[in-house]
Amino acid sequence: MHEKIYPIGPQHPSLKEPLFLKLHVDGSYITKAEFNLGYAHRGVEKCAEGYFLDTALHAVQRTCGICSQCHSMAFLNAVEPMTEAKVPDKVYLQRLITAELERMHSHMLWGGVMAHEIGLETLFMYYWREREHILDVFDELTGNRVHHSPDLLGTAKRAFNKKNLDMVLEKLDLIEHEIKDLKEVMRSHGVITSRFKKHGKIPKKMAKELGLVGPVARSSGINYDVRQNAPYMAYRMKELKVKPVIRTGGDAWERTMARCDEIFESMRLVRKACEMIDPKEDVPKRKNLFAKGTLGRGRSEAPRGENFHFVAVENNRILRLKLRTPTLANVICYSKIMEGEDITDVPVILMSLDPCISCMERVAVIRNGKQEVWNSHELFEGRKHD
Amino acid sequence: MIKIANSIKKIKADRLISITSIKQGKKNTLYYHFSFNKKAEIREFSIEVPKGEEVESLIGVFQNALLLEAEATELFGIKFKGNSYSGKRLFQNEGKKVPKICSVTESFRVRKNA
Repeated sequence: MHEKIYPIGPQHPSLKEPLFLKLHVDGSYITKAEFNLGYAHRGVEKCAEGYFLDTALHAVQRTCGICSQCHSMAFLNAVEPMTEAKVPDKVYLQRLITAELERMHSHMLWGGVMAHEIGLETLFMYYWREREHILDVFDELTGNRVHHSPDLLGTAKRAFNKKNLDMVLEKLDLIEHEIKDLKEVMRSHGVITSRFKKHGKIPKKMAKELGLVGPVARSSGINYDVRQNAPYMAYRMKELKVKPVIRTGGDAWERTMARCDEIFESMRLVRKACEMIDPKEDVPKRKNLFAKGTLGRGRSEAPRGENFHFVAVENNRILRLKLRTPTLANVICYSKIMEGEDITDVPVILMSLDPCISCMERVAVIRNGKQEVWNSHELFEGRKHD
Repeated sequence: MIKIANSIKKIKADRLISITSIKQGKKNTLYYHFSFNKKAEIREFSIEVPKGEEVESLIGVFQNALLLEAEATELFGIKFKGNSYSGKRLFQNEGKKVPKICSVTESFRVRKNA
């Protein structure tokens, strides 16, 4: 049989975000897979350059619509120790609540998209119906359904009151039963098990060698979760110790189940944080804080894995901001796990990795109100003239 | 750097977290971040890269250096010996003209008419 090349993307029904996959196929079996990136430049790193820390935070919070709070936490982890910010526990707890709700919302969104990929449209709608409740909570807590942006340097934009916290708990009670049912469907549905099990397998050794992160690594048996291994903010508190979901199979099925279980762990953390938070306490007012150091490093556990932010500061302004999103760490395994699979399983394998391409690619320039998308040559030349 | 990377690998460092390039004037500095032990402590190493000089790639030691190095190549022109992806793209290929995007006022006009 002759080998043929089958292109998928950058625009394709099985892809929610632009990514180009070049599959070498023999019959319907993939012999080699290559990927090309570069179709969704965003510009967050460049946007932040030259700005004060609190201004740059606005850009950072808009890196991703789903894990907005997690990016904000990674940036604040890098920057707050450089300043004299004294952050009260209430602010930390508020950040945790938003971050864990984000994780639930992200996994539910993913569950819906995954169901859609294999043709289970009803399951897709059920997942997204439950997700709407979380978005309502975001609206109540932060004023935004997406890009919540609740943080300020050393404090928060507003304090959660009793009404807010009651709503969070009420909504969690409302969706918990439904989410359990949906997990059971995921676990027992014949179509799901037959299409997910033993496909897209990532052995533990490969996951370790490639430096994978998040549920993708944890479902291959790697016990690494930033919240557990290097706790930050409210995760340092004894009551909020995280129990990461570790599975050993490493295939699409294990990744699916890992995410389903993580929703319940997040629920537990949110409930506990709601108990611990004092609804009458106010948050400190915004202060102008100045950086004393020059380099800062921060991490957070986003729904897709470890976020890493590296910040270089000069004269209290951002000289360089580097975001290493979880998808950039995980994208390296895409070509390896496709090899030997059937071409019909590609959408399932891709979605089981839960890629966030727009989060990963981030170079565009907005100057004087006009948007310019630069190619690599222009980008490099532009840098030269800076 | 490759010697450092090899010694890091020997002491069972978890992984390479990130490679960042920072340009100050004519000087480029590469920052390597590694994760160590169960507490996942971050260790940072930096090297200065004189203009036009090549840096040894870490792919042989840490495979995930592939895209991180490619990004430094495309954004800052730093070349890495032995990185096959370096010179391919994370961003759009050179020479492809990007279609002109309409200005903000034009896009509003279109919406109004619609």
